[in-house]
Amino acid sequence: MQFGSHRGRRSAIRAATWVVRVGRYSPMALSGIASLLLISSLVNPALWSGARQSTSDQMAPVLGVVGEPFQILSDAVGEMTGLTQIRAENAQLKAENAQLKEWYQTALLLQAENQSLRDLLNVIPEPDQSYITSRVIADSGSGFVKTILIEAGTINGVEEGQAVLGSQGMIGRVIEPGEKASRVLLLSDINSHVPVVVEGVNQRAILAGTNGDHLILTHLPEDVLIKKGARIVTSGTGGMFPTGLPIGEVVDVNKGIPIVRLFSDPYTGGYVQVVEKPQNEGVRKSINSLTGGTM
Amino acid sequence: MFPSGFEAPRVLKNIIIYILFAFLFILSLAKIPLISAQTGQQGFVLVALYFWQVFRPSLFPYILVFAVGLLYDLTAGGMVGLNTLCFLVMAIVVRGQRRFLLGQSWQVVWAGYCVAVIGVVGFQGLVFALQSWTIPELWAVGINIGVSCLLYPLFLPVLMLINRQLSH
Repeated sequence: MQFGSHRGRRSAIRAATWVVRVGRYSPMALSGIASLLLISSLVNPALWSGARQSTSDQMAPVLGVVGEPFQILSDAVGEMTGLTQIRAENAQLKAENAQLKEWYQTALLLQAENQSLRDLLNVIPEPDQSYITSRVIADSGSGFVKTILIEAGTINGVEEGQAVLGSQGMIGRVIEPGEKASRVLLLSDINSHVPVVVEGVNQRAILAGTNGDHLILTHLPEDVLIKKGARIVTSGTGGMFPTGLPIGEVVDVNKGIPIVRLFSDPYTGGYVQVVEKPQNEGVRKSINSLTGGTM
Repeated sequence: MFPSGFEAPRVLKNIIIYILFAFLFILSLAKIPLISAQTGQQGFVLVALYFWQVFRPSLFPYILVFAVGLLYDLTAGGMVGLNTLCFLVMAIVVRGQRRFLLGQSWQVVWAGYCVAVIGVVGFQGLVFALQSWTIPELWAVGINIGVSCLLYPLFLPVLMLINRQLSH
């Protein structure tokens, strides 16, 4: 038995020595291994998701600790330099407030009218949303991938596919929920495609990322006229996201393709909100039947 | 207690190098104001990798470069192997030019770093283009390269100081 363990130890030492030798004398071999890893990742992007999740979980506390002083410093500097702007901002806010008071009265009237119409039609009410607020702790580490890492995971109730909101609108969705940290794919990433509705014309479309600052609307019928300033919200198609989450507005139409700018810049805010999926069992059952139980 | 030939100060100095490297590694991934992955945040780790490959390659063997690249890939959430390969190729090329770089002024060494950054970002852009069949926005790539290059002189005094301390 002891002889066996000796042999095992010897072979482990031999293997470790071999790895060290390869590392020292054969950088080409290591480059070959790296190339194989890259090819495997290109062929099957989900292959390493488990390893990525557990690494993110382990690294999350360190990333959070290193990033926090910078955030505090940035906030402090922002507060100091912002004093001169406060007066101008205050005047602007006063004007906006007066305008909003008028809108508030209109909104109350519309809400009452909407409620009475819903009662007449016996509409099933939309489930109330709940949110998980989390700090952004890391960036994607590459200029060609648009993701962020947030300090909330499955232990906080984060699940794959949940919508993530910035200060003024949706910015992405959870793609790799770890135990303590989760990766969010931003809407601007080229791999992001979200079902949306163009308000005003009430037209469904797909909002696609371009890896740039602006996004584009695809799968639109040719005869639909979309104007600048049209608001884009989630359609809720497929049950992945709640209906009506604000995303952005059309800023231009280039060769028939509407260009969309997000309401929220995903890189400026230090905190995000993860939209929890409806907890109502009936609603969940309906979503599961639509998505095949993957959500 | 310690093996013969043990030099406590040297070991401590080496540890400082690794601590600084780890800090720059984390800084290249953490959420910090003013700079993001889109604007050359990866430059933090590239500066450290390049500098120590030129001045202290024995402290950063290829196997360690491989491990750093792999950890970077797994933490960054991108394609696994991409940064591992970039870091390794950069290390191999820099070590090949080490004798030339050691005798040059810091500006020439900086120029060498800029070439390394262009190579790394260019290769990443090429892989991205092949994967998504999309040409990356050139101005964004330019900003990424520019900021990464500017990070080198920012950290050079600290890195040189540690390197000088190690020489004594």
